[in-house]
Amino acid sequence: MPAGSTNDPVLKLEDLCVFFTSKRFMEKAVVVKAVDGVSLEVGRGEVVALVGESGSGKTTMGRAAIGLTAPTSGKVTLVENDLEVDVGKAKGKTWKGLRKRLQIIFQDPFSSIDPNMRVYDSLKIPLQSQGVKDAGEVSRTIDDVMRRVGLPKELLDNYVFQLSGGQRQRIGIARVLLFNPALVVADEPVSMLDASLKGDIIHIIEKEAKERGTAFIFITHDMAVARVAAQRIAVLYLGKVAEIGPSDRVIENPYHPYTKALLQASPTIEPGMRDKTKEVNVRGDLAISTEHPPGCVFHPRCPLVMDRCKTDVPELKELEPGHWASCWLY
Amino acid sequence: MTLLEAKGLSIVFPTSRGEVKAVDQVDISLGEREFVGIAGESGAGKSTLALGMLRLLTPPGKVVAGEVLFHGTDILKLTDEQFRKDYRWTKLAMVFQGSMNGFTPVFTIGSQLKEVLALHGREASDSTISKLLETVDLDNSIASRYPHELSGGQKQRAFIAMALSLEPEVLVTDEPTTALDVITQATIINLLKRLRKELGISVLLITHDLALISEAVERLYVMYAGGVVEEGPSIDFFAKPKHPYSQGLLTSTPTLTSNEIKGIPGFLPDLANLPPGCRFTPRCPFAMEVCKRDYPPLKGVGGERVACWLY
Ligand SMILES: Nc1ncnc2c1ncn2[C@@H]1O[C@H](COP(=O)(O)OP(=O)(O)OP(=O)(O)O)[C@@H](O)[C@H]1O
Ligand SMILES: Nc1ncnc2c1ncn2[C@@H]1O[C@H](COP(=O)(O)OP(=O)(O)OP(=O)(O)O)[C@@H](O)[C@H]1O
Ligand SMILES: [Mg+2]
Ligand SMILES: [Mg+2]
Repeated sequence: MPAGSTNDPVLKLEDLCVFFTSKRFMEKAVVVKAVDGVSLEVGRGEVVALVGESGSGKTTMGRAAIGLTAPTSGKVTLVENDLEVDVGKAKGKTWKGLRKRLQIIFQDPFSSIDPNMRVYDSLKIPLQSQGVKDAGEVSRTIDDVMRRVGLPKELLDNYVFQLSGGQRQRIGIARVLLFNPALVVADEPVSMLDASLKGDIIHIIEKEAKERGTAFIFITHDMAVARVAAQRIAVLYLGKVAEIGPSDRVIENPYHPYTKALLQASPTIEPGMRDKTKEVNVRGDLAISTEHPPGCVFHPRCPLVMDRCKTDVPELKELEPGHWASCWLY
Repeated sequence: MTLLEAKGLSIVFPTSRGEVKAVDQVDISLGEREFVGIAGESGAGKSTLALGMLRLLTPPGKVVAGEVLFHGTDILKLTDEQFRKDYRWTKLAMVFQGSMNGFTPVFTIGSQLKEVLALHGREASDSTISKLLETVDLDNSIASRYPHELSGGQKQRAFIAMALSLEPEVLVTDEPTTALDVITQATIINLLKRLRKELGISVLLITHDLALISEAVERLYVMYAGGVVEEGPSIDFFAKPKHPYSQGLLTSTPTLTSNEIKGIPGFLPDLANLPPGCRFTPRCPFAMEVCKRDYPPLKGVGGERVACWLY
């Protein structure tokens, strides 16, 4: 099986590229390769975590996966009941139909929900716009999702601006659970939540995946969360997959030097620990540079760089069953 | 020496269900060049406290009791005009939760940074801007981009650069790194530490992430349901948290070696209908009769102060 593939896929990304071209007055156009040749399949009921540093292309990839951003090249396919829908090219009625099947929980709960709405309305409006009109059904569905995301019903009367950050994030999750989507892109769904609520949200996602077969692309910067939440982890670097494999294996036996650096930098709760022992040997935000370096995109920051890395692009190689990394060390 | 101090601060939000007591008689202090953390779960009142201390509360939220002293002056008593002119951004700066939306969509990041500098009579050249961006590990080319052309973490860092641009005495940061990967997180925390050393800035860091606090701060407060339940030096706290809530918070921090995340069972109480005793009672594994009846005061326990009837 090729890298990133899985049994019974519900969504397939094939050699996906998303480039942004920005043209400023009197300046030459620059191209940002936000996603650069990614192939990945997400299985029915599977949770796949996307990790990688700020600017590595996680959000862009998530948006392209559900058709909110058009691919520059490559293909996104939704597979349901043996029917294949080309998400990247969908228009009109097909596109509208996809909006219910493919959902996103936005990275930032502060801008994604109108703060001047009552919580109840913020849930009622999307339901009604998808044709659920019966008052009894609306209120039953809303009570149900509130329970599923663990928010007390009393909050329904509040305005969204009255909620704390974490409460807002959960309303965002409730909104996508209203429907019964095939796939949800959850963009940092737990980063705003305290530790004691993270577990709850992950359980909600697990349960939805198991009981309803909903697939999730779970974007997070937190490796500990990725491990708990997902069956597979894909590590993204400058728009490319650096490593992908079963969650436990990626954490316990990482191959790519970038994955290793991410793991080393993970915070611990012993004061000052990271200072002393966890000095990260990669640094700087190169993800912003518009021109990708030749060879391996990670080579300028790699502590183990070899000559070959500077000229040749490494392909993903299967190093143990289902566990792939793109690095010339292997 | 104490630089910024809240004394008996109470903040409420009137709602249809009654008054939500988001912050209830809180005492908090920040010393010169000190790095202090406020931890607590979602809804504990952390953001409200910070907004109240920096006069950034929006109605209907209001301070109903207490004072906020900065260099001994009660800044809550100043006129808006005085506060804006002499304190906001130049002496007291804040990076809000969700500040990645703090930028106006129609101007480039660079022009917005320049505007803030120019407004306060500072030099606003291209090289100042690129230096500012460099402090938060952002490439110069960010300056010519519009906010929507940045990733979430890039926007968050650009906002931190803006808050730092006027070299304030106090920087309050509310969840400054929640959406950032660990490498960038470490960079930001190291940056805050460095600023404290080099510029003598005092930092108040608000987060639900105890791991983050443990790396950064010298002293911390733990808030629960609007009140401070534990306060003390990091060393003592992390060696052995005293309050049952703090203990729960610490054990529920996700680690790389675990396959599950254990939460503290139960919910925060309704802040509009607070029970009379300790607010953590319904979730507390050690709850006693007295806990339901009386609110425990903060008491000295081995170098820390703890509000719990166990001590
Ligand atoms: N509309 C756009 N125009 C130009 N560049 C863009 C646009 N959207 C994103 N980018 C750039 O593409 C890259 C990937 O951005 P993306 O938002 O996907 O990153 P991310 O991995 O989600 O980061 P974060 O963790 O900070 O949210 C970044 O360098 C970003 O600046
Ligand atoms: N404008 C408002 N009207 C009514 N209640 C409010 C308002 N703003 C905040 N609250 C309530 O005050 C309490 C404290 O909220 P606050 O935002 O300070 O919490 P927080 O500790 O910062 O949480 P988080 O970690 O989720 O950001 C919450 O119960 C919230 O619902
Ligand atoms: Mg993102
Ligand atoms: Mg907050």
